[in-house]
Amino acid sequence: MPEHSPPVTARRSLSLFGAIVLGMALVGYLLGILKGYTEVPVSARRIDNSHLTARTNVQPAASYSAMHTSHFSPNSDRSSHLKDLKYQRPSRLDPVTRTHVMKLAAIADRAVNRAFDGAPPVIPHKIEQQSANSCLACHGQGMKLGERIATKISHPHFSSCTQCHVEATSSGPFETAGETPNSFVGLSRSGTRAFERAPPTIPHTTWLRDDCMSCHGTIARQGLRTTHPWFTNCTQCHAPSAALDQLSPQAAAVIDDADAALVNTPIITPR
Amino acid sequence: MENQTDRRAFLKATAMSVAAGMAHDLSFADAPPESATPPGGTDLPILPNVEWNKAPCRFCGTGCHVQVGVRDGKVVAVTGDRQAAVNKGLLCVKGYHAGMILYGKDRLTTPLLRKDGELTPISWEEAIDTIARRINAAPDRFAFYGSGQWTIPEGYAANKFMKGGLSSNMIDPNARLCMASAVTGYISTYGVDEPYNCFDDLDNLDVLILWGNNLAEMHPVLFSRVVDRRLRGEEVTLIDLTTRETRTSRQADHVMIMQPQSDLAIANCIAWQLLDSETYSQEFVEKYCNFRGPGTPASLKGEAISFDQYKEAVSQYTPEYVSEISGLSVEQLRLLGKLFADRSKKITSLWCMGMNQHTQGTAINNLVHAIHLLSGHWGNPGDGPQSLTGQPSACGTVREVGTLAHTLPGGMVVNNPEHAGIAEDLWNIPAGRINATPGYHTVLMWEKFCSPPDTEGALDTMWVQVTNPGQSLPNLQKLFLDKAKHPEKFLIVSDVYPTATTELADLILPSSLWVEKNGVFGNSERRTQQWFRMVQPPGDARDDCWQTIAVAHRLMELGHPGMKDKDGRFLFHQQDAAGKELPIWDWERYYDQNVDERLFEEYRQFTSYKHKNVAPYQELVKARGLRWPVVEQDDGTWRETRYRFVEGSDPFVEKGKGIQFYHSTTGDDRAQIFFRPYVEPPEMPDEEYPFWLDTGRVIEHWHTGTMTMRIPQLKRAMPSAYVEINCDDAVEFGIQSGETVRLETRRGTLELPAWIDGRASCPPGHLFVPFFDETRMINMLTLEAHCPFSKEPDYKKCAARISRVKV
Repeated sequence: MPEHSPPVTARRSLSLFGAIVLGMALVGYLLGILKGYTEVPVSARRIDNSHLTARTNVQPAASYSAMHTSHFSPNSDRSSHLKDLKYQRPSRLDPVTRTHVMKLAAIADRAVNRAFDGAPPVIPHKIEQQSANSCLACHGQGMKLGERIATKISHPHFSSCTQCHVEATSSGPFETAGETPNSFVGLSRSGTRAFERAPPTIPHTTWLRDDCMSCHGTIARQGLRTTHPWFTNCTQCHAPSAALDQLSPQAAAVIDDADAALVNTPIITPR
Repeated sequence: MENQTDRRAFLKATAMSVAAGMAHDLSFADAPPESATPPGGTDLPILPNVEWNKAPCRFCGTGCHVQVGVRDGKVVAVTGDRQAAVNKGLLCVKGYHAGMILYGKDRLTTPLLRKDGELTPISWEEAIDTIARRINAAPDRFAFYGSGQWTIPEGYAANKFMKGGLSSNMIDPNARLCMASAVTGYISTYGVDEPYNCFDDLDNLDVLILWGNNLAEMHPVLFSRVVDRRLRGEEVTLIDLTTRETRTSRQADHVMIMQPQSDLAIANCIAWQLLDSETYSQEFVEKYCNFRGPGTPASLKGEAISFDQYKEAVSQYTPEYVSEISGLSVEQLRLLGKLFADRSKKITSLWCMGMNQHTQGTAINNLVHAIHLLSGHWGNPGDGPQSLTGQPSACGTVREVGTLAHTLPGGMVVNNPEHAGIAEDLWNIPAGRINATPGYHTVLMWEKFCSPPDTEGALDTMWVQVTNPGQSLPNLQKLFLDKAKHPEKFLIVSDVYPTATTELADLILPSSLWVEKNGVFGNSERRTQQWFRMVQPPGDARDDCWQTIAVAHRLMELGHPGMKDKDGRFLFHQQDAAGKELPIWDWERYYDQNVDERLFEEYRQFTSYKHKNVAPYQELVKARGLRWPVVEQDDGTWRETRYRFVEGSDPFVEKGKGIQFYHSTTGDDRAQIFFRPYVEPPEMPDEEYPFWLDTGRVIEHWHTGTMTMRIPQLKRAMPSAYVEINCDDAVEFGIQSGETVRLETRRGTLELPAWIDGRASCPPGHLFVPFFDETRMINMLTLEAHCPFSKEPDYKKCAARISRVKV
């Protein structure tokens, strides 16, 4: 027998070995898929850490088969389709359609997340609990994905976000809050106009609202958007209120404004 | 001038018409016809004519000022006060929602007496009479338990009622559980209590060291006052010395995870390095400091030691040795040592419950002061140690008004005859009326209230105002729930909502809350803050201060001699300009005058003896708080003090002294650099109970949650207590996030959901549970062991075990 020709038995066992390996891989794959589809409670899936040994802050990855139902991120409950995920930033020159009904709808929508006008809005999505900086990933410049809007931060020099903003619903793995009966009725305001068609005065404080475009820019609730985003000097026409902005009472006094009643008087007489 | 106005008016008019025209052309031209009603409806309440007034926030010791918007007798909005130096217009999420604490549906509105086990509405007359008769029957067996949320006049009235009226020192506040160790730390180091510095440090520091203090969640406004400086391009180094990684850690440059209790060793290690490398400030030490050891047996004020003895004492705390105790690396310890050696950087140390709720609380307070004194990082803005408080008036009402079991107003003490004499004179009561024996501290007080009536020194009747001990005391079974075993014990609770404490109350008094009454608070930086009543309390709720005065008056009617002064007048005698007595015990007449102002002005007389001069009430009305000592200037204005003991800032420092500790315990104007040894905690993890258990707070809720859990936005954001557990430990025990687990210590058991890497992350072997949730009270498990000097219990470390609860 020539020395360089392998024996038949050796070749056979090689093929057999290959077949076994392939077979095992196939069985393993199928089992894996099957296992992936096993119904497990959401909470269990989120923290199935049993394969981890080292301490980590990272959420464990889901299996491929479970990926479409897995909870990866704070915003994972916002189901999106790829076609919607185009980065959208309307141009300043795009025409803006805004009606009175849309404006009221936007104000109502805005009120849902606030205890009163001037209260910091609650966060309508889950958040990363420990790092406030993650907020700025979306809210730093603002973004629009499909119908979802992440408004631009209106006070970029204050970015300790979770100091003032809390989740609307806890993302902690426990039962949600029951009823919290409270009869508080919050302040709500609208602006005034000197005459019909006059530019409205700014009906709210501009304190912590340095950037008008956060709420009135191209990435904003439709009903609150400015109809003329190409004019960028807002206070040219829209007057702020020294009273609402807690400037000095003297400054407030010279402004002929319906909000004059709101002058920040520091003292009342004891009753 | 006229021309200019015309021009402006013309420009304004032109701009307006142009804009109007554009708005017309651009916005309305293409608008589709309007028809549908928008979601949420169109009838949102529009509320003009809101009246705004100042008040300090109701919650923590930061003392932010808010502007409260009131319309039609209801609070409708709260905003940050831009004129306030503390918060500069900012608030935290609790502060913005503070107005809602008044409007929870279950406010207490009528006095309730337990009759045959049932709480039954009764009249105020019956309630006041019931209390007065209980006290009159056995004044020695009555105790008053108050709070750092008492306003200054409330606490002052309660203190005068007890010490000046009943000759009893059985009064102590919940602040014993909160900052008593800071008090003993200041007294033993400087000879007088309270921070010498102020929040201006936060604007000036280069390095901030947080000693077991999750500033991002507990004092969020102070935290952003520091970290927002980075956004302005300033360099701020944040060092987080902590037992768990928190939101604060995420912003820190150095996160140093230490073993519980090892703060003692770490501070001593810094001292060792300063001495070993001779980088301590020889000049500062020689001019302004003495050295002091704990003494044998250890005492609050210790004993004098020489520099060599001091050096010898700290010599064992080498980085290598302390690394073993603390879990910090030698490099981390050396980093701290080098930092303190560097005089070019301004270092501020801040602490709160981590150092105070500590069985060696006084010791660790002494040591942190010591390393600042030793290194000369003391006295300049941004350079020094400063304790923080958790309650709005822990400083104002507890430390300054002296509502502790051994103190008198103005930083004086009952067992100093000279101090007692001053108080007796100011109160116009007979000499000797003030009892020289200190009363029970909080833990002992509740132990004596929960023990059988025939126990020596047992208490029978307890009156609780403005606090919730049924949830906040440690080891609740022993110190609170055992009360139920003794039907003859009588618990009176003044509060605004049903709480864990009212569960066992025999008499409940409905109280006014925050801006429903006049008030004065004193914040963490010696700032006294005043506000006026803005809305009426609901139903028949009444001010705590009135309640105390009314009981005192009823006691006088029943013949208790202590309720009269030397001249036979009512202890709380107040008269009008014509000399006619004002019936301030009559609620209908209570707000005819400003009782708060009168009590505050009476109290103000006490404050000059220890150089804690508070400002006159009318000056406080004008200001957003003033930091004492406040001293009148030649021109009639009043000047506040930013830095005590520092010449140029403190008016009581003699010229040319530089720094003068004019209340020094050694009488030589010097501060004490203490040595205190590392001591193991009384309970440590073992085989049976292998975990460390730490308790604390979260940003959404304030203390026991009685107020914040009634704010929908905050309750929804954090509805439940949880146990924070390390991922590895969870894997080992097969525990998943959200799963209910059982937590046990030698004192109690509690079931609650687990949260892995949630709000914060514990290292292996550690657990953390917040205490705000009245349905899951972690204080069933905590330890009542306390600091030998401050008597403050340690809520931060005990041994626990955990197991799964299989459903």
